[in-house]
Amino acid sequence: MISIDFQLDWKPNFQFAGLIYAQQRGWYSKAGINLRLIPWQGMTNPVDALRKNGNVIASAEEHLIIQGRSAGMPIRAIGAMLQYSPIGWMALEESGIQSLEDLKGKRLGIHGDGRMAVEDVMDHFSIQKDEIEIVEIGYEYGEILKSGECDAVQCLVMAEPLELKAEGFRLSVMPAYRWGYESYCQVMAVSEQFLKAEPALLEEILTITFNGWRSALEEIETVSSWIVEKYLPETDAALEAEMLKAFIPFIEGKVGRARIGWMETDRWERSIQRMVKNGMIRRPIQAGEIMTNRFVESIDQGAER
Amino acid sequence: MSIPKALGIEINSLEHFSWPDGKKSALAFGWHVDGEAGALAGEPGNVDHFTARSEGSYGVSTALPRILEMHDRLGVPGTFFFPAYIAEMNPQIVRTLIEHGHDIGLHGYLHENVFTLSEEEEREIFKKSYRILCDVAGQKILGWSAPTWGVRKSTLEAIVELGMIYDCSLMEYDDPYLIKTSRGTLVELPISPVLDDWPIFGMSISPSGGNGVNTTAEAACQIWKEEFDGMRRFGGFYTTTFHPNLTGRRGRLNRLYELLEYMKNFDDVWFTTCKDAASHVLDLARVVSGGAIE
Repeated sequence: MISIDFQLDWKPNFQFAGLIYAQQRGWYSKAGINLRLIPWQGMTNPVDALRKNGNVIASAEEHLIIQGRSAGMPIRAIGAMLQYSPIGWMALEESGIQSLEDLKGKRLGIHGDGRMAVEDVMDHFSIQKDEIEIVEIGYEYGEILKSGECDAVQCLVMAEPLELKAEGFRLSVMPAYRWGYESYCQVMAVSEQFLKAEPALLEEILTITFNGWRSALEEIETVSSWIVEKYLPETDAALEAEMLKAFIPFIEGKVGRARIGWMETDRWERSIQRMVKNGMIRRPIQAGEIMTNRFVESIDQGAER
Repeated sequence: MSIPKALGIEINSLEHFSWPDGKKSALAFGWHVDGEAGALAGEPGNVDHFTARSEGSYGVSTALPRILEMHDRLGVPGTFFFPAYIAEMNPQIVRTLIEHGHDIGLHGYLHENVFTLSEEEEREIFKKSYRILCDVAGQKILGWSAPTWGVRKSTLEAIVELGMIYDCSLMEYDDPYLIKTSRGTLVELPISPVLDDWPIFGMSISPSGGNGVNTTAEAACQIWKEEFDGMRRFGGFYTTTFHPNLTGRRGRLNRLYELLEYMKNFDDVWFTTCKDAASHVLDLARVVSGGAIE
């Protein structure tokens, strides 16, 4: 049995349903793999897990992987669990706000991690920085919208809007990707050393993981109950199921269920250029240095286990 | 491990325990909002004993609003354990506490000590009280604290079966620990009689008991401050078992304000709720176990 640590960038919830499904079905262990799901811990960068010697896969947002590689870490992305970032914005339906353009002259509440998305979309639509007032906010979204403190607020579109809707809010939800914010998330990355030493093992893990995702999306209720019973007793199975359903467009993107994990080289190039332009990385790198589709390409994704 | 495994549970302290963001210790203020339930559970004949009932009611109607104000004003989150009967009678109070960011925990239906119940009765009361409290709160309730500290194997199993993640009743370690039951794993958030206001202030009118009116709040706060200072030196978890009808009295709460203001001076302490402390422990356990809670 080979042990692999899979460093998550959040808790083992619906966001990792594919891994959880495959683990609970025993698919990894049948392949001789002891896959350990390591939850994210506050204030840590999941990419740092790749500094350790040994067999480690990290799940991280693409910009963290780009930053790591640009800073000299020998790491490579091997597949993206999410085609798009689930970041977005929400406003009260009665406000009539349905896009960032509607926010001109109004106030948008964000957190630090949402600045890149909003600036990117504003840039894309030639909205000047002073046309939307952007302020940092807390997490009482309902109160912030109701009180008029902000006209719209940042959200993860498969999470907070569902919670607020359950409380009776009528909302307009705007996923950032619909306005051109193309950022891969929950990207699986490994060290170059691991990539070179164990290509067959990595291909096997990705094959199982992608099959896990497809099955999890077919059996949403089953995987949601496993999440609560085995991993996150503090959450609620019905809510996990609802959020997983809302997550599907981010997993499938334009590539569809049959090509889960696929990454476009051009999108990586654009992200790198954007980060150079915004001063987020000092050393420009080539997309080919940082990502590979070799495993996704060689996996017959139509095959069932 | 001092509770033999043969009794049907397994206790595991977590090696290399740590708190979030480099904090050295954690404090979760706990309140047992017993209201009239204590008097009614202690003596069923108290149903028309107005004095006994009013002594408990004072905690809910009079003391709890100013306790909430204290938590808000000082920015200290609290965990409020309710007998489901009291929550059912005062739903707006429960919802207000939640809206203010506090944690709600279960504390029996009518403050029953499980050792006065058969296992079947215990299970039924757990199911009923859990359903009521979840309905009143409008959310999943994640923790329990034992009325009169009655806990046995079936109690811990019932907590896990209902989907709760923590118990706040046992006392073995300074840090939270894990309890493995036949139904799953539970986080134990250890309490201490030292941080319980009943031995200091408790006084039951019917049945008569306790002798608390002879102790000053200053003396009580000195004990609680000593325990806090000790926690900062040695690390660990600090949770209180305060009762609004006791420590929520004007003079005592006045002293408690001062104590909390003192405590708030230290940024190496994580001020949290029992729910968030338990979630943190589960996060640590998941790191050790490789994902699933075993």
